[in-house]
Amino acid sequence: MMFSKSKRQALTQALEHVQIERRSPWADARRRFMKNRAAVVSLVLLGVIAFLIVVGPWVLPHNYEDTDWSALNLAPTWQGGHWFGTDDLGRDLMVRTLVGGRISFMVGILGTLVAVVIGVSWGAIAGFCGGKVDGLMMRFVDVMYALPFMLFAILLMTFFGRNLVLMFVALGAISWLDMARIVRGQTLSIKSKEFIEAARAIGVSRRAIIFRHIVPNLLGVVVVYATVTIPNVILTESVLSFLGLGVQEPMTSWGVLVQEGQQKMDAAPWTLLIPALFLSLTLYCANYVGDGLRDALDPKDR
Amino acid sequence: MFSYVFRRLLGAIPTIFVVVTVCFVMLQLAPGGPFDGERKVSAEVLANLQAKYHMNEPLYKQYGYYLNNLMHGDLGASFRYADWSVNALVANALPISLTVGGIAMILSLAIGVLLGVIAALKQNSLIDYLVMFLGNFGSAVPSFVIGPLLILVFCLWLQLLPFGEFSMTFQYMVLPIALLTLINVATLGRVMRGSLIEVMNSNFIRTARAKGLPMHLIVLRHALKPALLPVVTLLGPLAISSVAQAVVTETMFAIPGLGRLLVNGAINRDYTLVLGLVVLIAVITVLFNLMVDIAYALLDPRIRY
Repeated sequence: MMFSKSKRQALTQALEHVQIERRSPWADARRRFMKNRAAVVSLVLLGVIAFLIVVGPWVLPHNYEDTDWSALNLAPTWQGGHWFGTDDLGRDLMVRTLVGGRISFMVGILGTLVAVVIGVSWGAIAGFCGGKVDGLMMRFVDVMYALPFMLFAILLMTFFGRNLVLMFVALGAISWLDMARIVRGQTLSIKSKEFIEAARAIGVSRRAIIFRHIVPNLLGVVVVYATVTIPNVILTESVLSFLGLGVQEPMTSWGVLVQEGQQKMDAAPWTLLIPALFLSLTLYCANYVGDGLRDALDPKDR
Repeated sequence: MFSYVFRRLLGAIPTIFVVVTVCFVMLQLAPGGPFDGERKVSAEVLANLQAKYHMNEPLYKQYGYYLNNLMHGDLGASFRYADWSVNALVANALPISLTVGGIAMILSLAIGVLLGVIAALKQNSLIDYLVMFLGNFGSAVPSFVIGPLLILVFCLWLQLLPFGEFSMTFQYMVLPIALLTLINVATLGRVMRGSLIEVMNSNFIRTARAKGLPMHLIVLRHALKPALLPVVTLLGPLAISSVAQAVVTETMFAIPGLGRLLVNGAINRDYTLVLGLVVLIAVITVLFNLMVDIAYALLDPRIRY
């Protein structure tokens, strides 16, 4: 950034003859991540699940809401095309599991995005302004921390209905607290750097300093904590759906499928076991990947 | 000490105030009024009803009445359960939730601490692996997956326990309590293990060993107390998460406690019931957190208050 174009070219040319293995911080982080075998295996498994979820419903011959009256409560078989069996309405469980996974992943990612937007803005503003504003804003975060967030999720779903868009907004609105705290801490340390002082000296407005100079420098931390947030949002979504407050029929999600499976597990245990397996595996892997990323990218925590 | 407790009590007030205010605003924003039933109410009757519940007065006055009622412990009338006040519904449900949750909490503390201690003292033993496995397992597999699996195995396949309408008997309480305990033990055991390992590596334990103190005295007299401090701090978050756990287990096992009341209220859009329960549970958790903080300050001599 500091060099002019010609100087940068000269530098690259000079460096071409130097036989040093160059490593960027990202390459360093990648090496650390690759050494963490549990995280790598988890990442591969997550990739496989994501691939199945995205591609599966297109490729499979069934539709998630089509009922097949000749095949009610079918156990998983290799013949007949219902590999995971069917539910009591004759709907193919494999397609339903994969479509439910789409919803769970989508809510997880979008909910996390909402949390990131709120958390980063809140934390950056509190950290940058400091003083009374900071005290008040962080006190509010403390207050929210002391309350069971499940209550808020249920409260929001009661009042604003069971709409998919409102659902991930609500989930994001209750998952931003950690993000705000971390971002605030980082902002405090970035705030005292010289380039912020320089920006202030040439008269950049406070808003521009926060959103053009501080927030981009937070991205590394934000990405890491976003990956940790995704499984939590997926989990909350499944709990709400399990309770009947989330995704509604005929649309489905893993929480809905587990709940349906629980209703008829004596006759058809696979309707419980298969979605439960997918959900647990995803959460398990996502936790490991998140931890691995945090260890790799956040040198302070090691 | 007294002033510390007093300060903390004052600090809890804004938290409760925020919850109450949010609840009041939500109630005002909620679509539909309490008297929009199947049958149309005539204008005079509606006016009388509104007068009775102060709904014809300005908002700030209604807020005042709401606060006043709450201060007197009156959570209002249920929208959906005719003739039931929220207080009466809570009075029926609270003891059940407290019994199940309380037993589970005590059991998980005892088992979690015990397992954690054994795991820390005998690293790489079978119990150690069990604690580590439980810790990983409990953090990844959600309770609403473990619960149905427990029912499937113990009620349906082995037929050891009955399943159906809940009653306050041992047979019906085993599984929900076991589930709650399992989840908490996963966290408690891991934390206890970690903190005891750290304490056992510290200087004062080395001194005690050098003096020739037998192992059980070192652990019981010197190591256990400082190692328990992180467990005490964990109690607050644990209480908060146990609200979520209670909601799930009570729905799953058809236990007529607070959690199930809350879910049913949410599904039926019983606004006053949900808000009353939210206020109640929030106040309970805030007070519990307060007690944990005070206990921590009492236990840890490094904390000056």
